[in-house]
Amino acid sequence: MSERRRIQIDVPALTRVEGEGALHLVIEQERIERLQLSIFEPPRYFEKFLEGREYHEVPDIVARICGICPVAYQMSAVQALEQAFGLTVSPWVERMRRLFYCGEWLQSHALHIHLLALPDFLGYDSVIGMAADHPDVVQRGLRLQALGNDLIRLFGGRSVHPVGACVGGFHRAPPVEQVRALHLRLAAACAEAAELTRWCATLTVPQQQQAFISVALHHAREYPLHRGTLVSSSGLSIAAQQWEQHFSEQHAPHSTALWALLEGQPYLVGPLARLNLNYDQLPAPILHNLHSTGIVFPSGNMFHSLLARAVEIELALHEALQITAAYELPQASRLEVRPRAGIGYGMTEAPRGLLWHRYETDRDGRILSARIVPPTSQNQARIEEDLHRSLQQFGLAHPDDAIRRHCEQVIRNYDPCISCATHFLRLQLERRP
Amino acid sequence: MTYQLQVIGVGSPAGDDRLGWELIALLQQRLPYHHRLRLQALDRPGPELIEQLALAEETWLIDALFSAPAGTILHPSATMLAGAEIHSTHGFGVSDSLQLAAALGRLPERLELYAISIAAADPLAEQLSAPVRLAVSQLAQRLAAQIEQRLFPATGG
Repeated sequence: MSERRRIQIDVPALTRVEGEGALHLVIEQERIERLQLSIFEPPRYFEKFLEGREYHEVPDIVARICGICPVAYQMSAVQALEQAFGLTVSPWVERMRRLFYCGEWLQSHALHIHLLALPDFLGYDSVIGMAADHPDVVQRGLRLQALGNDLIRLFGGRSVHPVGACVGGFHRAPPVEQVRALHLRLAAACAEAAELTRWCATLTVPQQQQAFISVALHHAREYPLHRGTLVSSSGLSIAAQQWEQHFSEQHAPHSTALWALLEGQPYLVGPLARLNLNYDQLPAPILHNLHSTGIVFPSGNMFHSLLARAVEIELALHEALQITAAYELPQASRLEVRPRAGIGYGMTEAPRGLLWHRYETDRDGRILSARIVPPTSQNQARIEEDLHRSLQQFGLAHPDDAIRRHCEQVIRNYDPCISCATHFLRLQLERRP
Repeated sequence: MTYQLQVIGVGSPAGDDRLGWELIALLQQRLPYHHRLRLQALDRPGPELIEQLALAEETWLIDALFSAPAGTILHPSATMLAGAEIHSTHGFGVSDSLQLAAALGRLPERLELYAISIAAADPLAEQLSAPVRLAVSQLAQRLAAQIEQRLFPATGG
C-alpha cells in the first residue's frame, strides 16, 4: 500500500499595518488539492472614508494607506484630481514629482532586496542572521534606503509623514543648498548601485520560466514612474480613463480583497513587468550594465524580479542625479487650483506596481466617490498562478519545510505588503495511511 | 556624533500608535533649543533607525507596545523588547532594528527604551485615547525634567 501524503500549510491572518494576508495550501498525493492566497486590502477602507472630504485633504489621507509607498498614493491621487479640475502642472512640478518618486523607489527597493528577499536567496532565516556573515551587503542596503528616505524628506515637509505634495504641485520648493547637498550624496552612490545590479545577477535563482502578461506604464521619452500610457505584453495600450473597460475586479470567496484581472486573465505588475516592457527606455549606461550581466529581458523568470529592482535602484539614482543637477527654485511651487465638478483618473508606478485612482468631485472639489486599485490586489491572482506552477516545477515531494520556504520565497518575490512578515507560514502536516 | 542626546519618538498616524510623535511634540514645546539635543519624530523607520541611532552619543527611544492595560508606561530592556509585540512596518520594527544593529556592531552604548502600552491602533483616528494621552503627558514631563537637569541646569525645573 502506498503512503498517502497530505500536506496542509495554513497561514493565519496577519494583523498589522499595511498588509494582512493568509495562505492555505493542501497537497495530496503529490498533487495540489487547494491553494488559496488571501490578501486583505486597507485601501478599500479608505475609499469610503474619502467621500465628502475636500480635495486638498486627499493627498494627506491617501498617504496613510501605506507606510512604505505613501508617495505613490499621493502622486496617483493628485494626478487624478488635476485631471478632474482640468489642471496641467508646470514642467518644474513634473520634474519634482519624478524626483520625489525616485526617493520612494530607492528606499522601497533597497529595503526589499537587502532585508526581505536576500535572506531567501542566501539561505538565512532573516536579515539579522545574514548580517553576521554579510555585514557589507546589509550596510549597503541601509545606506541606499536612508538616501531614498532623505530624498522623500526633501519634499515631505516633515519627517514623520510626507505632507509636501498637493494638488497643483508642492507646498514649498526645497532650498537650493539642500538639493545640492543631496546631489553629492546621490552621485557618490551611483557606482555602488551599478555594482549592486551586477552582484544581484550572480545570485543563484531557480531557473523557472513562466508565461504571463506584464502590465506597466510606458512613456515615449523616459522609464515610467509618475506618468505614461498603460501597456501590456498582450498588446494593450490605453489611457487611465480606459482602465475600467479592460480590467475587472471580482471577489474571491476566500479573500476580502478584490482580484483584478485583465480581460479575465491574471497579470503581473511591478518591477519585472516594468522592465520587461520598458528595458529599452533605460539610460544607456544602465542598459549597458544590465547587458553585461548576460541576463536578457524581457524575462519569464519571476525570480528576476530581484535583479529588476536593482536596475530600478540604478535608474532612480540616475534620474535623481539628473534632476538635482539642474535644480533651481521655481516662481511658484504649485499652481492655483480651481475645483469643479468632474471625474479624474490617475495612474503611476508604485515600487511594487501600477497604482490606479479614480475620483469624482462636486463643483466645490468635494469627493463624491473614490476608487483605488493597488498593486498588491492586482498581483494576487498572478501570485496564486505562480505558486501553482512554481511548486509543480520545484517538486511536491520535497520535505514540508522546503515547500514552506519555497512558497515564502515565491510570495515575497512580489514584494506584496505581506512580504513584510519574514515567517508568516505555519506548516501543518497531515499523513494518511 | 552630532548630538549629545536624542529622543526619538517612533509612530504612525494611526490613533494611539502616534504616541511617539505626540511625546516629541510635547518635549519640543517644553524644552528650549540646544544644539546638542535632538528631538525627532519618525514614521515607522524600520531599519533606518540604525542610521538615526548613529547621530547621537545617547538615544532615548519611545514606541507603542500592544499590552494591557492601555496607558502603562514601561521602560523595557532590549531583551524584553525582543519578545514584545511592537508596532512595525513590514514586520521590521524597533526590536528587529535593534537586533540588526547589534548584529552589525552598531548598537549605541547608551540606549534607553520607553514604551507606552496601547490597546489598538485605529488607522483613521487622529487623536490619542484618554489613557494613552495621560501616559504621554506623564512620560514627557519625566523626560523633560531629566533633560533639563542635564542640559539646562541653570533653567531646569
